[in-house]
Amino acid sequence: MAECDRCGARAVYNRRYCGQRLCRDLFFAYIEARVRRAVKTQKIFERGEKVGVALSGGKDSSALLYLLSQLSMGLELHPIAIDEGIAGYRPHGLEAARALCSQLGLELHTVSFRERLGHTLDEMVKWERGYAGCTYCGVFRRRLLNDAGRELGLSKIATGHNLDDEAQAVMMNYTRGDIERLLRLGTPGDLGLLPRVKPLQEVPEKEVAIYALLRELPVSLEECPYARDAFRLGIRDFLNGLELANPGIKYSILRGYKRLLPHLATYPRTAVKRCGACGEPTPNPLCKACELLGALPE
Amino acid sequence: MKVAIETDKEQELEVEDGTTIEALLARLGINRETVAVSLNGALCTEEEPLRPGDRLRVIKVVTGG
Ligand code: SF4
Ligand SMILES: [Zn+2]
Ligand SMILES: [Zn+2]
Repeated sequence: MAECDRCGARAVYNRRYCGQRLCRDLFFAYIEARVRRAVKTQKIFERGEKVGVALSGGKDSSALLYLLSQLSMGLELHPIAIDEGIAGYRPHGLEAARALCSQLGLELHTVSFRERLGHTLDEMVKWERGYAGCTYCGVFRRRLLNDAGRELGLSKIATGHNLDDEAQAVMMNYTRGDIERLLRLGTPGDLGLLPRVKPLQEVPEKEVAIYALLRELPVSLEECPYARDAFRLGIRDFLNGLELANPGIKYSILRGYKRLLPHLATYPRTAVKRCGACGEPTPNPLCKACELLGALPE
Repeated sequence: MKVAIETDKEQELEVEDGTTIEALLARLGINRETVAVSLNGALCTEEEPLRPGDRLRVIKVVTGG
């Protein structure tokens, strides 16, 4: 039986990138310390701040909400769930989100596509306007989260993005040569949106999952019926292949990106204007949300 | 020896004595970076050797959504 390096109890996890085996208790301590340190060194939150937490009921956002609720910073947490209207999938996530919130004594704010936009995502994808489900989903979710955050008077929104998500985003923008997006990825609150913060940014996806499993958090394991961007899936598999042979490579990609970021600051950026229809900031005459809504039938 | 393994489906596999979880995952073409493993009901590291009658559960941790 593999043993914890420090106490000899049964090891639940091997941090291959540094060769450390951890028992359950030390695994908890390690993850919690890692998040506390990120919050402190990157000055992610101020004491007593009103923070929105995007909660999907999946492992990442559920682990995030739990971890933030354990910080002793007097944060006022406002979990926000977006109900896109995806039959057979979203109800499971919402149920998990509600269960976690009641466990933590927090009020869950639910914002639905149907109420705010007049259509569920299931309806939108049927119109066959040439957009994938994830396109509508991503654009409107961002908009609705931002709107909800403003209505609730929040100062920022925390999301459950983990190290894998970040390394994938860096590599996607890098391989496409999309310097502007590469720059925006590391700039919270750019484009006049409520600042987004990612306290789990340095925690590998596998560790977030193990944390949620060991803490027995209510989590939905259901998978969305809409296919993900094939390019992202390719990058994901490529990075996991690299990580297998080179433990720590994902972290190294993120660290390299952060070193690059200050040098990108001088890169010329498209000027931000106001959307002609809704007034939200956008580099184009119409914002993406209005463009997509305009493409929907009345 | 035989071990029971649960991935998307449940199956019984014949493996050599002392095969590690890591080796079994490789044989099944599963990247260990994308799963968590639980042996007889408790999460463990992939270097654990398997014993006759063990029940291994492979939990996908890397999802699309
Ligand atoms: S997979 Fe796409 S459609 Fe499904 S929840 Fe995620 S972004 Fe939305
Ligand atoms: Zn220990
Ligand atoms: Zn607009």
